[in-house]
Amino acid sequence: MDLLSPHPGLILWTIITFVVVLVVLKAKVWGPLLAALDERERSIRDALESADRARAEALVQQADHEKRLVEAESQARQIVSEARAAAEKVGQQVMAAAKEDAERTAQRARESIQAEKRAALVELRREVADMAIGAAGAILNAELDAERNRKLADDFIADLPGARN
Amino acid sequence: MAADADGQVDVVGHILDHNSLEVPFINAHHVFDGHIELPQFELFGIDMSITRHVVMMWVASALLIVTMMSAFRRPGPVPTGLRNFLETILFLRDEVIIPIMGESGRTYMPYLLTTFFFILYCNMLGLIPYTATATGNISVTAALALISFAVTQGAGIANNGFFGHWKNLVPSGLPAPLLIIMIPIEIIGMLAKPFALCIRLFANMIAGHIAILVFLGLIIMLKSYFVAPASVVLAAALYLLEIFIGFVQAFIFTVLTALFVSMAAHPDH
Repeated sequence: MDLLSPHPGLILWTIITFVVVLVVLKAKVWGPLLAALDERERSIRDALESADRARAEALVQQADHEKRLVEAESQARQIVSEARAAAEKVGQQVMAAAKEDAERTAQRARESIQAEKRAALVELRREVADMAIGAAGAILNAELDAERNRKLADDFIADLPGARN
Repeated sequence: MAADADGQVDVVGHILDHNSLEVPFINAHHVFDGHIELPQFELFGIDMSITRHVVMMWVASALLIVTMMSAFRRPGPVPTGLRNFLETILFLRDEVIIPIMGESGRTYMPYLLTTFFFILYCNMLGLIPYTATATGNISVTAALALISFAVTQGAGIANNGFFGHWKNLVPSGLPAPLLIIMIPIEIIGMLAKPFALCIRLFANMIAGHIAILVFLGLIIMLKSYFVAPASVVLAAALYLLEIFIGFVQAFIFTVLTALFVSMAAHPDH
């Protein structure tokens, strides 16, 4: 057997073997395998496509959510500012009412103090007059004797108008 | 590997086909050098002996069928185990064959995949000790090239009609005098393609084996232990290269066949 001379028997055996292998593999392996590969490719493509669709949908939803969020935020801000304005108004009203109340109370106090003061002065005057009268009475009772009385009466008479002539 | 008394190594004899198998552990006197004779017979005047390379081809085919069928037993959508590995080789389909041949390549896919794996398994089987490389036999590669040639011509005829196919041999619109030159050139070119396929695979397969054998044979020829480390290291490196070449040559044979088939089917490209 020479290295470079073809051998018809071996050529035939090779062709027979190759064809048998080809037939067996085609029936048992390549057919189902290539079908399975195509199927897998299809399912992967489907999965990618549906993932793309889902992503697009999610983007739309996200934009929607963001829009709603912005709306809600502005609404909340508006509510808060309205509430603040209302509270300020109420506070001012309360303050004004309290001030007025306090002034009225003070005024009333001043008036009653004035009245008390006047009453007290009147009372004081009467007391003082009574005491002066009492004291005068006591002095009169103590100081009046015959001589002085006579002197007093004489002086008095002397001082009467016309008594000198 | 046979080494005779005066330290000569029969390198080419190892490459050649034989009517016997080398089997270890069957000969009590030469433990690693047993032989099993194979049947020799003729059919219709052709020597159809079952030679060593025929047996190796059958072993490779059996291994190919068994591994493929076990790997793709359940053709579900999710690959597991061995199938994962084998499917990586199916990049041939998406990255090579379809780009070369277009969608019509799907028709030839079973043939091309079988060619690739058949050559690959034969190449790889030859790397195991006591086996032989069937694809290192010019008759085997010639047969594979003949099949490739037949598929190529068949694709041309199927796509362009019988006469259309032969007319496509020569580019259309040539002046008549040129045809006298062009027709023989194109016929030679048509025959040169399978011839090149045959010789390329054959030569690549025996080259590495011869180089490995020569390196290892040096130990015996020089009768020196000091040669052994260098020889073994170089032979091991070549062995790894051989694994690579086994893949590359199967790939090249398949890709070129796809190219030829595509050219025959669509000559206008």
